[in-house]
Amino acid sequence: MSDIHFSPRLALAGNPNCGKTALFNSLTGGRQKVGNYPGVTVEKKEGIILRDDGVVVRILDLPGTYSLDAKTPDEMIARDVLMGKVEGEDRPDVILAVADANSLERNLGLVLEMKALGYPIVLALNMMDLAHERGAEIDLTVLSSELGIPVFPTVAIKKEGVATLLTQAIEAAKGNPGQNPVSIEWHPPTIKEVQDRFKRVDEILLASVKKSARPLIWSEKLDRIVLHPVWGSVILVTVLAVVFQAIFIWATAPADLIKDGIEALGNFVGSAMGPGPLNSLLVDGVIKGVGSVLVFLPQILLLFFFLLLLEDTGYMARAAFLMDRVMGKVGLHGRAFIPLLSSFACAIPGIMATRTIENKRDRLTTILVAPLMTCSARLPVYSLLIAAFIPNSSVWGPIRLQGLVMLLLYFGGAAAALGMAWIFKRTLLKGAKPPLMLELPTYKIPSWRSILYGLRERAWIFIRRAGTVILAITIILWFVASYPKAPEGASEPPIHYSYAGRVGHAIEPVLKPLGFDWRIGIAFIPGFAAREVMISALATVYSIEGKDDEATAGALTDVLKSQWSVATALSLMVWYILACQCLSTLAVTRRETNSWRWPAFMLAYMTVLAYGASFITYSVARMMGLG
Amino acid sequence: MTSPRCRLGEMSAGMSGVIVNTSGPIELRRRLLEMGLLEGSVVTLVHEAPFGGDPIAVRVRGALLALRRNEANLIEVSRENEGEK
Amino acid sequence: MSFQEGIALLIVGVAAGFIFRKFYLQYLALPLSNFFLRKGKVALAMRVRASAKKSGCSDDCSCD
Repeated sequence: MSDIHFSPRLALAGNPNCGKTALFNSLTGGRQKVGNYPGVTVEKKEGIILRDDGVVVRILDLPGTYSLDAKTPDEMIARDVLMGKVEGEDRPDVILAVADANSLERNLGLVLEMKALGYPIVLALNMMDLAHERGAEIDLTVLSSELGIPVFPTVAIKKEGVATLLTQAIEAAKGNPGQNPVSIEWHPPTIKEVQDRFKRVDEILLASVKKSARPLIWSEKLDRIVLHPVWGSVILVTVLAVVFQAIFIWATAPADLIKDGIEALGNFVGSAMGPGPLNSLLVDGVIKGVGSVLVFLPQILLLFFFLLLLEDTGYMARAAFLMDRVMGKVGLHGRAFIPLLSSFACAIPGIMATRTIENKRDRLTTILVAPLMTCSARLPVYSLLIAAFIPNSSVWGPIRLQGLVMLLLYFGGAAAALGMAWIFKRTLLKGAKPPLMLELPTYKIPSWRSILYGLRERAWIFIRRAGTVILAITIILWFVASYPKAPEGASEPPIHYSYAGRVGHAIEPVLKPLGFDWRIGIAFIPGFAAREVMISALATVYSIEGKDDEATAGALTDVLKSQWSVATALSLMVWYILACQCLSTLAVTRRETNSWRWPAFMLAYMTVLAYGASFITYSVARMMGLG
Repeated sequence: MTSPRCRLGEMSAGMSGVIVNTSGPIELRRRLLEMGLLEGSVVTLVHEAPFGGDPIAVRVRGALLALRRNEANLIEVSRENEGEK
Repeated sequence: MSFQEGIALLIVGVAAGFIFRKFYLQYLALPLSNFFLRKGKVALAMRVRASAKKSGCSDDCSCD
């Protein structure tokens, strides 16, 4: 057989928290394609390895699962891929099973279950370094012969043993090139079968493990504080506060750098060519518009950095444990905490993450309130408004008012989400409280490499978005804000006579009670495609308008400071917390719920909520003399 | 000698015992088993969540597992060997 | 119309085309394909569906 055409397909399978993703990153060096399985929104990660010997290996990273007895859509995909039941997905040639060497008692159950499917299997005994540190002595030869499959020790995050593992997996595939049966039927096991499976695990471990790993003392000690009824809550609040302070403070220097660069570029382009429509398009539209969004790259990367860090260290599951009671109070599952927390990044992965919730009503409730959590696209808007209207004075020591307001806005979103969940669970979606079952993994030193890969991916997505959708919308906005041109001898700035100006003026009466003028109205419309476009839209509108007007020609924060009242700014902040200004969220809700009813309901309730709350905010602020 | 038996959901932090029986709907029961809450396994209640001590975190088969007292009550525990450690 | 204006409007046209195409692939192509399918025009439906798949984009944030 010629090796050139030999391209085995490996499926990486294992329990959650066994270091599967780290192993995947180690194997593929981060060269991976992230997509979705057809028809469902479970994330599909595939990597390709080009080996020196010419063999091309394709690796599929299956979602982590405790057993083939799947409960959630994620677990079902893992099972269905192995059964050869996923459309357009060939059955793998070899299963690369991953088990945490520190937790074999639990991890081997799945290995036995997969072995029964009849695949060639190679087992990676991961996190071996930690197992050694904890004093574990495992006889790999005995383990291998008892299990009946080859076993290799690995330390994925240090790339130890990974090359050998890959070679062995390829060897195993060679003995079995695409010879697997097309489809395997699967039946849920009986209680007895599950019990027997684990009995067998115990027998295997009795024979092969001479000394089991000592408990990880520092992890347990840490838990005594982190999960402490009182200190645990204090720590949770502190962690969240530190994250939001850091997002605001650390991002300042790089953001200023980007801002200066964009300004210099704008000045250069503006003076390099004669004045005219193209000049205006490039400077007012493209550079000002896209630049005003790019400035927020550092903040978004910081947010994702912290989210990845919390996930990687194992703190996220603890937060879900601590929050279960609070979530339970409003009728939600502790697991709903994780989708809601990922909604801080973006409501869409958040809504997709609800697939780990088994109960349908619970899932719907979580989907409906997820967009109230402050997503990263809102961060630029908040930052801009805070920078313009909130003084950066010290409140108490190093805690500054700006960071505090940011935290408050995030809390506002979370409170709104919980409040609405409470209402939904009592009216539309009544139901019993579903069970909670959650593993709290031992703490881990985070793998900087995985975090780096994650951040690189996020940065790339953000820049690509700015360079495509946001760029295109900004260009179109420039057009509708510049045409038709003002008539001869017009008294108002040209934008008044443009299409955008007319639309803005037309919807102004509706927005007036909230303190928003026609310019904000203009910015709302493209903001529906992507929230952060609101900023580039404002930048473009003011930039075009300000051509002959000194007051509106400066940096956007200065412009807003001179043009808006504090009441308007506060009202807009509240609007942004609550309004459902995101087409993609509605689309993903449509797909996840399989009906137009729920996205329509979502849009309606959020708009009513936002309008009401903004109106109250504006009125109260004006009464307090901030108008 | 009769062994003191109780339900996992009735225990408080620091108590441990051996699982002797699980009950409940088959789906849920299978889930409990898959997570390692099997007859014969030693289980220790290590943490109680704030605001009322529910959910709880138990150590079983080398892992730390969070569940609510409601489900924990499906698990019967013998506390016979408590003293031995 | 000046030279600058001509170029500017050309860029606007390209941007509008891009946005429309994106919107079509993401939100219209699949329902349209289903509509044709119900009408019994299978070949047409398959063609529309193939174009929707080519975008390779899901609604997740990673792709727009």
